[in-house]
Amino acid sequence: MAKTILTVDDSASIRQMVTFTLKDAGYAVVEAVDGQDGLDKAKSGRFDLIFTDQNMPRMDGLTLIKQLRSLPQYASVPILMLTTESSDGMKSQGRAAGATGWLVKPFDPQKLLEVVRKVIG
Amino acid sequence: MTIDMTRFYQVFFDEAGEHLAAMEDLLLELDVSAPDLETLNAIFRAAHSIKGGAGTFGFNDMAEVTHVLETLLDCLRKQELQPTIEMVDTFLRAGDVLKAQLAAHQEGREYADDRIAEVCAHLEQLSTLAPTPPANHRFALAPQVHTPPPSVRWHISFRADAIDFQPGADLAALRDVLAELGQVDWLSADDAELCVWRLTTNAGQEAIIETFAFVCDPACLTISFDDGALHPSAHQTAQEDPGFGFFTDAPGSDHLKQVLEDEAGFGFFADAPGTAYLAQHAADAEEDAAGFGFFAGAPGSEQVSDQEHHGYGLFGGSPGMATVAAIAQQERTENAQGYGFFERRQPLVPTDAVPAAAPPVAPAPVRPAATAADAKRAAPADTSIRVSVEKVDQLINLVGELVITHAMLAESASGLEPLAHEQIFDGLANLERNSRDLQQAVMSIRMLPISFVFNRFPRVVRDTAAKLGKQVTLKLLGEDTELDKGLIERLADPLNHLVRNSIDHGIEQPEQRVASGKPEMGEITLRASHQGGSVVVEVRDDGAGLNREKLLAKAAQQGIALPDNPADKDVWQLIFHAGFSTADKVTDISGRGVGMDVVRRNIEAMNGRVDIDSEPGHGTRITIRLPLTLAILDGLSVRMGNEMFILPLTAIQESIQPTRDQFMTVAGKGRLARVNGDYLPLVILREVFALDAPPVRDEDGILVVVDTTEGRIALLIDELVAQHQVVIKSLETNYRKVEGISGATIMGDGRVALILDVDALARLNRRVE
Repeated sequence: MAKTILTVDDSASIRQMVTFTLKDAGYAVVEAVDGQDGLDKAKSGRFDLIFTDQNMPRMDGLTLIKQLRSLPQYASVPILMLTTESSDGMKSQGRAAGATGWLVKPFDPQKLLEVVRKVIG
Repeated sequence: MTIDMTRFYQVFFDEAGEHLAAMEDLLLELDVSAPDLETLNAIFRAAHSIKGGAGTFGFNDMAEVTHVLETLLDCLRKQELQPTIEMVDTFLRAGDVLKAQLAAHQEGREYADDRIAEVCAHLEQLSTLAPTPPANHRFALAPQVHTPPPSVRWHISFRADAIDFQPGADLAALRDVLAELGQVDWLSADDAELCVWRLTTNAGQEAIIETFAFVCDPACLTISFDDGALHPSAHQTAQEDPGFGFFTDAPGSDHLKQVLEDEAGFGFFADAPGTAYLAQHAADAEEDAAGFGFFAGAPGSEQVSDQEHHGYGLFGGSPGMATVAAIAQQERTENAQGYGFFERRQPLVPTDAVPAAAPPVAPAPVRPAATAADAKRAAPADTSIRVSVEKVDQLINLVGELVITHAMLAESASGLEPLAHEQIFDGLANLERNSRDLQQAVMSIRMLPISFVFNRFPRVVRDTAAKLGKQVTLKLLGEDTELDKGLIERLADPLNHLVRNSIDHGIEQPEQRVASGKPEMGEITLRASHQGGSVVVEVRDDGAGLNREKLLAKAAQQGIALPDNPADKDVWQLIFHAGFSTADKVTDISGRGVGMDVVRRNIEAMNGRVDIDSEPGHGTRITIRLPLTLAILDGLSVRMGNEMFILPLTAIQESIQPTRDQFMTVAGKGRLARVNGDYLPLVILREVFALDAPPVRDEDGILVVVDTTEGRIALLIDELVAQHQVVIKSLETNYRKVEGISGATIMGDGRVALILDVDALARLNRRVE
């Protein structure tokens, strides 16, 4: 059964690219436009992996991760931060929030697939 | 698999354009004296999003500009720096550069201009003022350019007997070579089977591997980053440590998982891309190195800088890692050779390992069926479509024809007996209602809110005021007022001119304003509203107002004829004369005297009018009155002899049945009509157009008073017929321009009626005099 991935990003172009790439590789993908939307969609579905941007209106990525981790069904689902913030500070904040890892933006579709395959197979 | 990135370009272009516009609006809204954190954040987000997209889709020039922009914005939102006007100016210029770059990419070009480097340099210079240099925000697009990493302690473990020493090499030689990188400490006994060394160095892991490669087969090594995870008591330190990395794709054994979970948040395993081959050795190492905590279970880890190369990482021990470990385990079982993840390192893979090609193949050969959630998401339906203006115009024309056809039918039916033909009359009434609704609906397609023009003015006002050292705020009112797209486009230039003029000539310098008891900050108001069938756009300033004496003096100097003691209104109209400027000095904003006449010509070309009100010391108000659309006109049909004419309803003030004594002739001034005590120039259409209809006595006609740019005039016509909405047909495209006529229309009876241009009639009349 296809694994389902939630991608949370306020940038439509990035979302489109992520969705296209992952669908092309056989995953099911759901998009959310910001942290709040991501949280709502996460609650109403089940995902095997969640990608989230950091800087977004309404709710940022770190908050989203914290909120997701407080939900029993997402306590151990891999969540990756998708962000241009490559600073160490952001990473340690991500780790503290409960992120499973990070992926630096900009990334190319191949890199994305490598990471996804590594994380959920 | 390669993915064609160009397919995503259009979305990026649209999105970046929106972000740039939003950024500009927010910047203009920003009050530098009391910056709103939310606004700063929103500006940052916009720049950030553009950077992310630009980097992803390969528009590196834009990514570079947004990067420096974002760096400075980041200092602002973190309140490390206070925003200044200079910064906002520079941000705006950076926005302009980005817009130019975006436009260039859309045309498939690259924008090259000195402005790019200049703006970037300026931004960088501004951000150097921040207390902490934003070095940790190095742009991720060029991760190769690192600042030298700090010294890091590495744990290197290997089985001495597993080392495949090259001829002439031994452990001491290995240590000596390693010592060139940094300090080497032996943690294990000299003769221990399992050697554990600690190397403190600022060299990357690659360097260590290369060093080992000189003396032995690096595949036998386990190199890991020595962070606090080794020492539970040092957790706090570890968290602050810049260390981070990948969880290895080594066996995700229960033992390891357990450790990871215990060490939640701290254990930080590098998935040493390039050392993945070490994984093969890991199983052994795990047991042998048990004394070294989980470290032994995590063969291969990597230093900060190396991971940046690969652009992603995973936090060991974090939630979700169990999945990763399970996948890795599965991967391992299926693919006992281990897993070369990064192709360029593959040369280092030992010969018995299969190069990495196999694993990264799509795991599911079957396409996933769309899930329910997927279907729900299914691309938010686009609620608008793009249609060429031509098609819309064609629709408008057809509706016009329909209106005319209805009028013809109604005309033919008018001779019928209503009671006997009730159904026909009902049908006609329905047809009329429907075609009127249809007409309105079609017209509304062409309507756009005036905010399309207004939106550019915050920037215009800001830039102009800054250039002149004035303080001006802009107030926009009635931005939702809709008018025809064609008019909106043609309104932009005249409005731009008026606004700049108001700032340059109207608003005084701050000290001058204070001296005259006004707030330092001048105010320009742009207001749009519907009045009857027209749209009224007002440009108002609270500046010095027009100077009557100065205008009169200038008029005298230029030989412009004016009556004695002219009305204010006539004096104000002087500024619309070509070449008329009262500015003492010419600035690059205005003052060359070109422009106001062009403004008036442009507005009149849209069947509009410009009026000026001014009060010395209190400001000036310029009012532009435009028809809602260029396609349809509310008019009054009037008869002269056998000919029908249409008078635009908006021009008509009143119509009266005159008496003999209202008409008079003034020697040399032509004929006048006295209406309510005012003497108005009398225009007799019959004479203007030399109609050969039998003469009618003046007092048997009707006087229609109309408002024109030349003042009020009285038109003498034979009869008022009816009020219509008429579809304007251009006379020029079908015949030629006729003075005094602005167009033509087809009446219900199929006859052509000419539409009168009252302003031109007034001018024509003046010339005849």
